[in-house]
Amino acid sequence: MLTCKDMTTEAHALLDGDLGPMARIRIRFHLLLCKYCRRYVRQLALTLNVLEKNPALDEQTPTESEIDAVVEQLKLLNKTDK
Amino acid sequence: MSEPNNKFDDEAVLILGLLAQDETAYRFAVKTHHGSMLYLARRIVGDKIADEVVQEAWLSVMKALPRFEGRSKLKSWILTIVSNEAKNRLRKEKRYVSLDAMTDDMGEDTSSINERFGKNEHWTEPPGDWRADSPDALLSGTELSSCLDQAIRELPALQEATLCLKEKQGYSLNEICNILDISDSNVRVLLHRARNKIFTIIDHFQLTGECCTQTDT
Repeated sequence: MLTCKDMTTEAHALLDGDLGPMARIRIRFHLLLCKYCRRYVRQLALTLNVLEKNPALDEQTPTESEIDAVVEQLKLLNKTDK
Repeated sequence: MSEPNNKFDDEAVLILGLLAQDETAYRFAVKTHHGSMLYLARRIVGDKIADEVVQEAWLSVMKALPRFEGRSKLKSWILTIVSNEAKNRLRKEKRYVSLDAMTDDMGEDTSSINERFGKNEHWTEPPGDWRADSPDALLSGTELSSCLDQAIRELPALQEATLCLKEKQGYSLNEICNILDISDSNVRVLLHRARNKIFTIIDHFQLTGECCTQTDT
């Protein structure tokens, strides 16, 4: 029998689509009985959507001068290889 | 406005262009991948030498490209090279410990989610009922948004890198294992801890209207 504490691990696997049919049934059964875990899973899913949109996790687009510098290095590599 | 389609959006065309030493292919590849390479290198070796590591990684990418077999996406393969270059650099500077070992120190669970259960492992302090049901509604005020920015910056580096690779860049857990060369179970631990930390910060904010990061904003 799953506990609510177990759910804080299993919920991640559920949302990642990473569980087999039996594990999904065990989780669905627990969720049927536990409103707090239903809330946890729903709000964890919302958290993941927030993270997907959060610019703090965005990588920086390189500037034109950064691109120029790397491209020049790559061209130099070709010359030295010849 | 989105950029018009570029022929190099097709990975096979890009690879052919790079192998033919086509400068426009170089520029496209650098513009597309340099940012994520730098992001990852910074999380492994720190800001100071990340630029050098990425420069080295680009040279390794070009040298190894003729042997690229296409068993993974090009981007994933490039990030694996960055991760290896970064670890080599740490090794040279005798700062190297395997990333698996780093998860012991850097993956500390700061979410406090495990303290919210009784002896029977059922909720004693359940999550609050958030008033918002969409990311836009949740982030409608600037306060939570800046609180989350702060929280993400305060995550241990490997937790942040794993979170970014999974939630932002959409890599599978298996791809993240390969990129960082850490075990499946450690990737899960890093990811769960990072997600739960962000979850508890949103939960606290919804309940109190206050930010509970280490450096409150």
